[in-house]
Amino acid sequence: MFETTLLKNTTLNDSHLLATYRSNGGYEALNNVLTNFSPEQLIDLVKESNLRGRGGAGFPTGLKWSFVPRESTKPKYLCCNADESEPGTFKDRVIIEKDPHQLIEGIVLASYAIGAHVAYIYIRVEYSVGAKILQRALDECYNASLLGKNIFGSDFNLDITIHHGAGAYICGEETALLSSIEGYRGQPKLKPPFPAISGLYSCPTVINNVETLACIPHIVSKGAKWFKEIGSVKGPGPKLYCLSGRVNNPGTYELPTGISLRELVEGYGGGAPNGKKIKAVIPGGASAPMFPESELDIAMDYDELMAAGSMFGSAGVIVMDEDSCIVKATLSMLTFFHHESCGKCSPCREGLTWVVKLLHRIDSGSGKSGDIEELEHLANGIFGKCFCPLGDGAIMALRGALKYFREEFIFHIDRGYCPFHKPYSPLMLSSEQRYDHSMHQWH
Amino acid sequence: MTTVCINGISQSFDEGTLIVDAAKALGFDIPTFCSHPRLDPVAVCRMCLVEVEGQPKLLPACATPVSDGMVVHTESDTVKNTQESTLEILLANHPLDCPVCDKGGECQLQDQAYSYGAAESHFDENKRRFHEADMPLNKVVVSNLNRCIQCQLCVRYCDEVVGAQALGAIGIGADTTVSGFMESLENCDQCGNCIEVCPVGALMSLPYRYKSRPWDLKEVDTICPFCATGCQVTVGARDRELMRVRSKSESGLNREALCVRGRFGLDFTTQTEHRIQQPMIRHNGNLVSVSWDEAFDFIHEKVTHINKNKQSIGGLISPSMTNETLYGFQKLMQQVFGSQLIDSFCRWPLGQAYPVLGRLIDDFYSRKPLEDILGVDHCIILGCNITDENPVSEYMVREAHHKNNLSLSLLTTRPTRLDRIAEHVQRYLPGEEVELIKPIFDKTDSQKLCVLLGTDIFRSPRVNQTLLTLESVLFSLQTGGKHVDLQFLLDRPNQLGAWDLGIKNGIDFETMLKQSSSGDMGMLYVVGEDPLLSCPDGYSVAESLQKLSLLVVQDSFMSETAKVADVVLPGFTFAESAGTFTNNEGRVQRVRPIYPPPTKTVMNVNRADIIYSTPGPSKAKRDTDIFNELSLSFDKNLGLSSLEVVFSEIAKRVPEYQDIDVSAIDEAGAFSKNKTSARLALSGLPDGPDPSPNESKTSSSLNQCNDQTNTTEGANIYAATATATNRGIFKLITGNCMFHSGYLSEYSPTLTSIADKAYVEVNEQDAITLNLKDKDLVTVSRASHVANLQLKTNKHFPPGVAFIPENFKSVQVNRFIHSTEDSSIIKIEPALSQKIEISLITQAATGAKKNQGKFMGGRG
Repeated sequence: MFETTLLKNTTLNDSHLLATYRSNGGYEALNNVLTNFSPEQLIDLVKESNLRGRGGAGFPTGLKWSFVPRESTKPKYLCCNADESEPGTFKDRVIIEKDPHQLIEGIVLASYAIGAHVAYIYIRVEYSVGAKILQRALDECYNASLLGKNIFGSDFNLDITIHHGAGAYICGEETALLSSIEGYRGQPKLKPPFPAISGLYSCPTVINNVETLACIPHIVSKGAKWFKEIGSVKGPGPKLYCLSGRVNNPGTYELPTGISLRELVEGYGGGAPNGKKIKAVIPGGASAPMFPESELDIAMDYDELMAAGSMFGSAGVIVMDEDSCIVKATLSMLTFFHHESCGKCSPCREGLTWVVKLLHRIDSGSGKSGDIEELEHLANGIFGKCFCPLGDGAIMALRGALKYFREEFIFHIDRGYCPFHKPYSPLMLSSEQRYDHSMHQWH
Repeated sequence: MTTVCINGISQSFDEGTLIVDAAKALGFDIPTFCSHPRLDPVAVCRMCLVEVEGQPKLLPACATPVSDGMVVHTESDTVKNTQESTLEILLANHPLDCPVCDKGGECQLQDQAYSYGAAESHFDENKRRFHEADMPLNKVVVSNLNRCIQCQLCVRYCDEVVGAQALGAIGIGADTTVSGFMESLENCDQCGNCIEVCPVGALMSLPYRYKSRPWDLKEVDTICPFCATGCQVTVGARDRELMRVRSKSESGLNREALCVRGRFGLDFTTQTEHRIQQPMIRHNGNLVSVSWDEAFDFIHEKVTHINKNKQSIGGLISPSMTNETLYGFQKLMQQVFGSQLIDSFCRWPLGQAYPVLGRLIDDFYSRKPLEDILGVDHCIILGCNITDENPVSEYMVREAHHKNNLSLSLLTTRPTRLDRIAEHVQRYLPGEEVELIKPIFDKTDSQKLCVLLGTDIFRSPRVNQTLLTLESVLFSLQTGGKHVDLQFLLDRPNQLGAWDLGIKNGIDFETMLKQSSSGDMGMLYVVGEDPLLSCPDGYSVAESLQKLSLLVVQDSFMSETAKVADVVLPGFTFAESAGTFTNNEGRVQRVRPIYPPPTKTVMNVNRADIIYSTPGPSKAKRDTDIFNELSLSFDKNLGLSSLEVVFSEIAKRVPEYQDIDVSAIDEAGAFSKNKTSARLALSGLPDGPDPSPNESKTSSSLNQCNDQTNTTEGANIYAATATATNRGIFKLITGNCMFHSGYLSEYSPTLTSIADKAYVEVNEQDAITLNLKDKDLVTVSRASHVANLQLKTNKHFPPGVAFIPENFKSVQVNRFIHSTEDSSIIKIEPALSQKIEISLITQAATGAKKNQGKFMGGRG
């Protein structure tokens, strides 16, 4: 059994309180760093641990920190990305609600490393409970002099402010997040300049995911070597996996990186309910292309998933069983991306509108032959041409579905109905009768 | 320098050159929608994606600077396929209603679809429709959001160049629309720049709506006559009908930007109702139409009489006239009437200040592009609400601030839109500017600075002291080794030209009026100017004018002065005349006739007992032709035959213009040059008043001023030192409002539809003290002159000051200004009646009684 680190405290009573956290060794790492480490040493330690960003892109965290120009006279900012909006992802929520001090300690450490004296937690508006818990934790820290001026008697000062999002998925993209904090429309900004050079209010800024930051105190207290030895070599460490969909034991699991998808879904997740067969699994949130059951032996590792045409993403694993309609699932995901497109660039704004219209037609049974080719043609027109990764992510999801489940799309188009549409499917499969929704009758 | 290889051609470019510009230099066009040379790149339309070797993804050429060793492909199959698919995606929801779209024929989407798009679209779904009918957003902008491609050019232009931030995006994703606050642009500048930059037909001009196709327009490049910024405008007309005004992005200092007056105000020239059609002379108290010969004979006869009486003859010409007309008029006055009494302006008490003004122009004036002037570190704007008076110059200041970090100091009476980006803002009450000029210069230690001097300085009664102070400040800065550029922000299109031609060497209009009231002046010849409306102290002007034995007015429209004239001569409007204007930059630019004068006769309005025209074909003539023919009737020949001839004469006589060949003036204009001899004279020893006493004088006032400002240290905007007790007594200031310029813009149907009422603007707190609020009707009075106006409150206005725009003829602002006592004190109180009206309590201005009928015209 893997010994949990990130979720260790979450099972305790009152795990969100400062007293609980401190009695379990909380803020010791911070004390240690502020007394014994220079910021450069901390960055080196994180670099050595090989920690990669847990938000989705998997960029090495220590390297990101080292991009911040130390000599710059401008103020530097740390932004914690708690805008966890990827469908099927709910790992940060557990940390925020159950162990907020773990996150706060990580933020203080990261701020110390980059020389920031102001940090923002950008939290999605839907996490109102989490935001309250987090605010209470911040208040506790201020009262205990763990935030504010001269933390632990050092000359390091830090203020943390919670910034509530307004419900846009795109604000999880780092530059859109910065635009949102600045008070502009939540839309991505042109890169370069990258945020590390010119981010929030045109000052050097680092944006880290909640889980990434939560790893920092443990790397400090247990050492880089400990961290490196967990899981896969190129992206080591404990990782939170979110299991959802048609699976017996959904939830957040802390397991090493590199674990196989099958073990996660069938072992920890207990397979699909009612003895159904698993049909497809999305490994890393809605924008990660899905795998069919036959491919489940792949390791949950940044590079391996990438090589297989998918991605680790946020490790939001969504399971679909044999009764799930892939066309409907794809439509659902693409509708989400289309709805959340910020509208800034043409391929994403107009292209996804078109894609959704096509998928909708196929799903409703009015698909035409050539529609799949049309989808692929459109996907080529969108993929790689968008301003930010949102449009690309949507197309990756679409391409994944078309790659492994093309027959289902063909079936929808050829037969004009959905074989998985539960209420009517037995009848439809046997007699190929169709239900006329406008007449409310079979014919 | 960085060397890049684009489509196999290697060349070096400056650091920071964008791929799109580099490719263009090599002859490869990369299509773009959202890119604009005046705006920061955003790279959202994705039309300009190009292949860069070594990069995993295609890169936007409009936002990616070239780097050393970069290998770019702009015409590869990948790029071409991308352009095709992006266009297909952009066109998917575009209504393709080109046949009914005003943009058809000059639409970038249309052009690029033909050049880079596929022949057929795969799109087979229903198109998105935001609305059915087009939506007018204000009097000049109409929007069709279905056509919008979300390039955000309008929003960015409105923010980055115009600074109005009136437009914004609403909604997200495919539902994004562009509109104003509460889906209206009713309160924006109405400059229409958003229409100009829109690549499709999403924002369109309401006055131009459904009127023409671009290929049916006869377009003429000319210069905007509404201020001295000198924007290049391209006027599109069909027959004698003005269709639209736009500006070309490739030429002119304005580079496509125009303000509301330039873009929509030129339709004043199409007005025929108020045009003077025929020469008229006063007969039995009435103006009656006569032939040209009769009019000239009438003048000849009167002049002989005046000469016999040894009375003088004065001339007043508007600085809105071309250089050629100004020169012709001077020649006429000198050679035919033997007079040196010429002024080009009657609004400002400049008489005493002409010597120092001349020295400022000769020694410090920088005759070079404003863009270069603004390339310094610090800009000081003195006495000008640049936002209202010279909007396009203001755009350029804002851009320089945005792109080159130009810092700003403002010394203005009225708040401007530059206040929020300026480092120092100082408000003053008229008259205080003399003491405040030096401190504002002391606030900066920049080595290179520029000074933009506005018209509020010229309007002030203390203009002479102000200019002397400025001269000594500039002189000491220059001797201190600093680089200083001076330019004016004038409000009449050819004011600098008038001064260059020597009209600052004559006697000012004020002196002429004095001569007239003492009976020393027998004749006044007024060209294009309306002293009854524009000269301060309207009553005494009326008095003086009617002492003349001959008042000749030559104008295109029936002005108030023309109504009381003895001879009225019909001239050309701006749209009919050819010539040159010299703008603030000293740039001489060509004014070209847009269409011929009207041939159709329109019955002029008959008012009271004055018949100022009878029906008949228009006999209007070019102003220089009138001078010519008048001279012939005096047996002299001015020889003002053609533009080229007149200008070559100017070039011979006016040193500033000696190198200019008028036939060679192209779109960029030709720059005049300062007289070098004068500069040398000054650098030796100034031949004006000795600067040292001035300096000591200013330094003492400086100390005084510093004491004042020190008390409010830390505050960016120092409150003006208003001492007047605020019981409804205000100091009146006037000038142009944003929507009008001078007195002719009121004839523009479009501008009048935007702003048809005069208003009085005061500080918000002052209004509260008087128990008044915004949009209340108030009565403004000074002695017997009373006007009911709408109140406009502004929290940034200095206390104790009231602003009434001078552009509304019915208000007759000049009658609030008395030259004798404390110049401009007015009283504001709640309106007695609830009607907006201008009423004069006493019709009987002293002189009117003596000559009944002659002076009634202006008091309708």
